[in-house]
Amino acid sequence: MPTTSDHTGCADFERASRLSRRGFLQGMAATTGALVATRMFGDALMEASFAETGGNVLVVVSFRGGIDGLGLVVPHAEPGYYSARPTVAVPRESLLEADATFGLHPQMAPLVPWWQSGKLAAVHAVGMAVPNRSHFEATELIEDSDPGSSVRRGWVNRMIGLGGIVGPAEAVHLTDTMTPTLLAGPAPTLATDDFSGLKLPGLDWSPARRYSSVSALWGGTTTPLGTAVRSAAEVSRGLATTMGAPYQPANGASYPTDDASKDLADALKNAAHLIKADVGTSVVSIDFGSWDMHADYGTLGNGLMQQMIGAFASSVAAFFTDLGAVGDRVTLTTISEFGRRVEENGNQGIDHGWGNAVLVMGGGVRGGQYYGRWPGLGATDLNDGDLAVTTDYRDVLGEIVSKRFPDRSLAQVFPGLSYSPVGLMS
Amino acid sequence: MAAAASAGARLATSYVPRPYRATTVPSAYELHVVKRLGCGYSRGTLASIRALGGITPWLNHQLNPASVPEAPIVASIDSWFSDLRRTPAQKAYSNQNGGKEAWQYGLDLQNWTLLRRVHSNRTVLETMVDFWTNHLHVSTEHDLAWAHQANYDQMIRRHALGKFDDLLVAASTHPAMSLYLDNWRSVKDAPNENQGRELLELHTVGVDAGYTEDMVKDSAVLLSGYSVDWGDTYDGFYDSANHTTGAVSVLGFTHANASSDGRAATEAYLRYLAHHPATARTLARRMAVRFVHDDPSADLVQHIASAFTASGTDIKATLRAMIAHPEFRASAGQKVFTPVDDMVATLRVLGVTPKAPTSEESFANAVNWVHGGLAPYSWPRPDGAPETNDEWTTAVRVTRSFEMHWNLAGAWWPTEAVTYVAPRYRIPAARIRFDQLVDHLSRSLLGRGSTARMLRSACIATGLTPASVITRTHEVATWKFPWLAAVFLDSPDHMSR
Repeated sequence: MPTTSDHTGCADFERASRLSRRGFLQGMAATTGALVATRMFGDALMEASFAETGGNVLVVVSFRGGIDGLGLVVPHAEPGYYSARPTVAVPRESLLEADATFGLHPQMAPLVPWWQSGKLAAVHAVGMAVPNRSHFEATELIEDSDPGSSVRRGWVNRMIGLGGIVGPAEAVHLTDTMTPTLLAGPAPTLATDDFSGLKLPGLDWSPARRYSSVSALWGGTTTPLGTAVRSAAEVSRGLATTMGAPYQPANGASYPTDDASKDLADALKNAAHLIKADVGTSVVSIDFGSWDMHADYGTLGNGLMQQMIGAFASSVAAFFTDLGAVGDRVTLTTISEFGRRVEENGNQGIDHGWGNAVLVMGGGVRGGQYYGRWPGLGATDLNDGDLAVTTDYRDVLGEIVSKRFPDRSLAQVFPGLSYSPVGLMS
Repeated sequence: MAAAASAGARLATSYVPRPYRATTVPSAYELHVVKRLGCGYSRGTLASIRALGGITPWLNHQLNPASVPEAPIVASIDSWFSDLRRTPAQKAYSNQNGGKEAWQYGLDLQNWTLLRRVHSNRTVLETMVDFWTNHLHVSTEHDLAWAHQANYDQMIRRHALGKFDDLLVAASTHPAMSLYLDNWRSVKDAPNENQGRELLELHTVGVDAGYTEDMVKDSAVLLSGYSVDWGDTYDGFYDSANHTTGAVSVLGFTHANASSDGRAATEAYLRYLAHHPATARTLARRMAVRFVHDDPSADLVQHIASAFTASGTDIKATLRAMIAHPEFRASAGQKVFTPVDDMVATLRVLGVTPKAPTSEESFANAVNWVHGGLAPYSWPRPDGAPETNDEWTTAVRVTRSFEMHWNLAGAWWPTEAVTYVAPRYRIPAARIRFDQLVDHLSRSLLGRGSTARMLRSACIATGLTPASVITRTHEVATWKFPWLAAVFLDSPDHMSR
């Protein structure tokens, strides 16, 4: 090599750039397998995702910390509810959309139009078949949903993994950059709190060189970090551009900005942006809470419970207003690790319990009514002082999956489930 | 002609690392120990290992932090964050009267903690403070505990290399923990169950230890009485009027608990739990996952647990046993740095030096915004931030860490009250081949020689060849340095420990 000037560059880089992308991908697929090839070169992957446009979307809002379902969907006909909660019970006359058994917490008011138009339903006494009052263990069990398996793979990851090789936009967690258990697993997913800043730094001089040098540094590295680096490059090349533009909510939707609502409202606004961008997303996951109200649960006038329910209802109302007609392909469900005890404690709070309420809203929901078999709150009805569970949470989630994503195998999403639908989805 | 061209092509694509031996490196084991138990690699750490005569004496000194001369800048760092030493009442007053707010005290604690991890010479102590604070987690996001959190940190520091039983008693009865897990509100005969449950599940025996719901309630009974005078003095105090009395039984611990002053019963209970075999397994596993790898063998966990029990919960003895196990030595590189640890390691190798802050934009007050990840002690739940690789290997985590490397290597941000090393000072000779420079940078930034992969990546990133000659005015010694630095900082070697 007698003369090598600086600007001739590395031979490998030049050879790679001379190849057509398709040819290079084919070569990669032949030598190292299609999965590696598609995950290293995001554009091709995004094309695959883009092919599945206009599909249904499931939004899972995880109420972290264990929401008190008895305060959200109030069993107003139960004397036991009022006697166990002398200071924090929701008065019957304040409830919304009450039937003979249940009524909604008054802070649910922003969602009443959806209830009345049959787009919002509630299911009561939902949970795991066996009580587990540990936040962390119950959360893992519910999100993993694969009893008996030691593999940490969430039910959403199994659901999206069934369509073959897909891009990370198919399941997106919109709370922080850490993957919750329900999304965790081998199928690529995305976790972020923001759609700006998804491009790799250092692309301003020569994007091709930057991507290529990262690929040279990490190519073939099969560790989880190596996979994450390839995924980051892929997102940088694809989704970062698609989602980089500022977003304006539609239909006059106004997302709340107060402290209690802001995180959830921002996440739902990002979800609306993502869904409208139509990049192949089928599941959005959002964390909301803490609902772990051992104290300061409060009353209708003050306290954490009324504040958080209000934040939830106003944020979700803005979300479905923003979505407009697109909302017909979006179904939102809530889930929480456990409910709370029937009896309040000495601090206007409520300790850990078991049975819980779930809200389901949007596309395909036969709303405007309460579902589930109510076990009652009599002394002999309770389990260690807690509402019993009569509906397996997987039957609620499973019904949504089977009705809205009929191409996914329920037996694979929820292994071992003896499926018994609630009847809340059309 | 054809043969010559072919030979030329082979030469061009041949990336053979060319060692730059003038830049010394630690042994692989030394590097492993400082990345696992210290706060990342740096030339300074290597110098102290050499000065002390090897990694074993280095570790012995580290386990007795008072024997390690502290870096002069640490006293300055402490002085920049003197607000942390205000009393809880002073902090509450400023929070409520338009002065410094609760979240700003939390941010101070985070910035101060990060700077200590970067600049203290007592790196094993800093690491163990992080370990125990995460195990006995009190979130900076909590709306009351913040007022006592700096004091909680001082308590952890006192016990971080001492005995776990002392640490557990101090932490469980500390006002910060009482506030965080609601124990301070417990009222007589209706104790709040929050801390009583997490004490068993998270802090000691673990969720599978076989305790019942009644035992959870008795655990809460035993803790009741430790309260906080919130709204008045803001100090912790023992409130006999709100201690629930009556016989209790938790996993073999029984007590009549007849006195309204339950403190003796509480301490006996906490010490019983600290020495319970299930607690030894909980802690052994947590240590193994944090310091060895994500899937520790039953043998390793048992080995650590036995040392913990045999030593009477002595933390140093437990750490020594863990380090002595062959699985520790064999696990080099298997753990992923968290974003915070990645930033600490990056600041150490780059030699970024903060100066006294003059505004909130100053480096010392902004460092918590640089790492792009979960801020120290801010995990929102009582189980502490995750310590396994899965949680720290998402796409966006990678993007944010690359961004952090980029900002620091390029000295882009923060730029106020801080000194960065200019790239030209990283070029070790007036004229040097590019492959040698790559090796020098690998040695000084990663503590190991370069590889063909690094060299190739560096060539692609910069458009240079291995034989290119670099001077201190060359573009990679000036504006193009970040593209070269990224080859090391964005690498598996730098982002793993």
